[in-house]
Amino acid sequence: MKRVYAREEVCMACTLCEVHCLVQHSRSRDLVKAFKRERPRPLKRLRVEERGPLSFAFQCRHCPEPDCVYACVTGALTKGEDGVVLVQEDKCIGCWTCIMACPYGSIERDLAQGVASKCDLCPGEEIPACVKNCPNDALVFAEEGELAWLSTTT
Amino acid sequence: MAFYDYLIVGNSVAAVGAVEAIREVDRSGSLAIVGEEPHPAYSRPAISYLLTGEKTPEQLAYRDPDFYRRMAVELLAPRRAAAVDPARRRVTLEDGACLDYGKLLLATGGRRVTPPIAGADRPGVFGFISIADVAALKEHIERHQARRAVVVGGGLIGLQAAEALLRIGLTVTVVELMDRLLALNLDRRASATVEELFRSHGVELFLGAAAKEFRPRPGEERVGAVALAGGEELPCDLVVLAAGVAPRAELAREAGIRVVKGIAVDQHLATSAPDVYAAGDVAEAYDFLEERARPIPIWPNAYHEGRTAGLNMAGRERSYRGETAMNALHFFGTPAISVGQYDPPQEGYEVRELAGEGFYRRLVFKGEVLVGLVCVGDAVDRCGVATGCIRDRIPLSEEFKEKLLADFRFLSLPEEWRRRRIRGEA
Repeated sequence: MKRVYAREEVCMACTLCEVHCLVQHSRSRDLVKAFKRERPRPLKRLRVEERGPLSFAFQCRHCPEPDCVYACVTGALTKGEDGVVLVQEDKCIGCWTCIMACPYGSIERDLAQGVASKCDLCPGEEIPACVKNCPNDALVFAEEGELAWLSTTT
Repeated sequence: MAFYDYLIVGNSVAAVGAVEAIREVDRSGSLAIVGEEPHPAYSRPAISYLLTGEKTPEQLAYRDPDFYRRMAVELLAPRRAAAVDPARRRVTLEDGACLDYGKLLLATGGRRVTPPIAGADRPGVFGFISIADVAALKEHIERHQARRAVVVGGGLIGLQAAEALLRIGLTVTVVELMDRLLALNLDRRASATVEELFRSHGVELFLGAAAKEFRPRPGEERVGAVALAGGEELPCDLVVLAAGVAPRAELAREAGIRVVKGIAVDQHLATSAPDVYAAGDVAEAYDFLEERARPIPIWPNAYHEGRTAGLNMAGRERSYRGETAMNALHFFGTPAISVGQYDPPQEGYEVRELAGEGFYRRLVFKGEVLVGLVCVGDAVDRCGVATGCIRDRIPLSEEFKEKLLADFRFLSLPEEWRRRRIRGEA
């Protein structure tokens, strides 16, 4: 399946991916409303890490054998036929077993709702919002097999 | 007489893990589950939500309502297995039915340990591990207008019961044999935080205290007080007895299958009997940190064991990668997580701690490798990054040990591992 990969050599930590991720996961899908009016404020589903000139964005790997799904005590986390790992919020009890299990640190606590929050690869969109809005092509949406060029440049 | 290519005894998380794995490999082999409860597999760790009324039994279902049909599983429930005959490849049920199998999985889970306390079978004394336990408890509370509860056992299950009982308006006292709560789940400092949480919510704690007798109400059979070894008597309308669980390995033992504490299994989750596998709380699977097999009765491990057993049963050879002890807890809105050897078993370990308001993190290293952690409060965020360090035995220099303690993120990992994680390499 396609996943989002970071290219740290061209990421400049502008965090536009975080901004557009948040808007994509807001009710209004409007930049200003999402940040200034929606309460609780919607959450971004990826994180930018930065130290000096080194930075990259990162989100769920939608693992072939996802530790979070296997660890989930309520069955709220599922891996669909399309490979996307999703949280069913009505089943999640906020026990954070998934946070303990995910070696990628890709699940966050949604404290307002008391449920796990993670990347859903933007259902209905051809390209996830983070990738579409990256000004530097520092995020790519690709199959694992298409990554040879990435590993040579990073 | 019926024959199934795959037969599973037990209908909880290990069974579901096995079913999902079998169906990844074999869509057509016949598959049946014998379950003793009249429910589809449900989230046992969430049963306290039944007591508070936040969930119905249907909402506790671990998979969607279509799961058994979708997976072409015949669910034989509520029925109970009476005997296993590995030589004839046959399971006999208590109702006399004979089920023959190609491959068998024993996933019978654990049972509540009943310590030698006089009156432990008295009405008004309840376990807290099944939907039936909670239903009986709830019915008792309503019928007797119960107001005071004593929970015997300050472990995970006892404290979940204690918080739920408190939430529905009862006065709650906890009696724990060890000198602290959650002695098997947290280090001393994190235990103290949890103790403070319970006390501040009005729960009285008797630590280092043994329940000696459950005494009846005057003129009645049902429980009216808990007598402690120290002489105190705690009046109550009900008792929740949560003194631990033990593997339910009788079926295997009586069938001549090798059992230590739980059912002994190899790296394929196969038992000593041909074509018989075991997984979940009943099994002794490999602990990669302790480097030995032992029962670790936790939910995620049961799924992994069930999955590994299922793949092997269906003919896709897979070695169990090994799990270790880990727990994610939360009481009164405060989360706590522990993984691995957070209380160093002997000399030669290095402990680093970081603490602040509502935040406690403890990392335990053996040489360059992280072997255990405890996180309380906001320190739990992205904790799996550290769990991954434990699992992958990532060597951490002084620099990275400090970085990891300060922040669970990829920039706290050595470059090679950062790149591997970003690429999503297992």
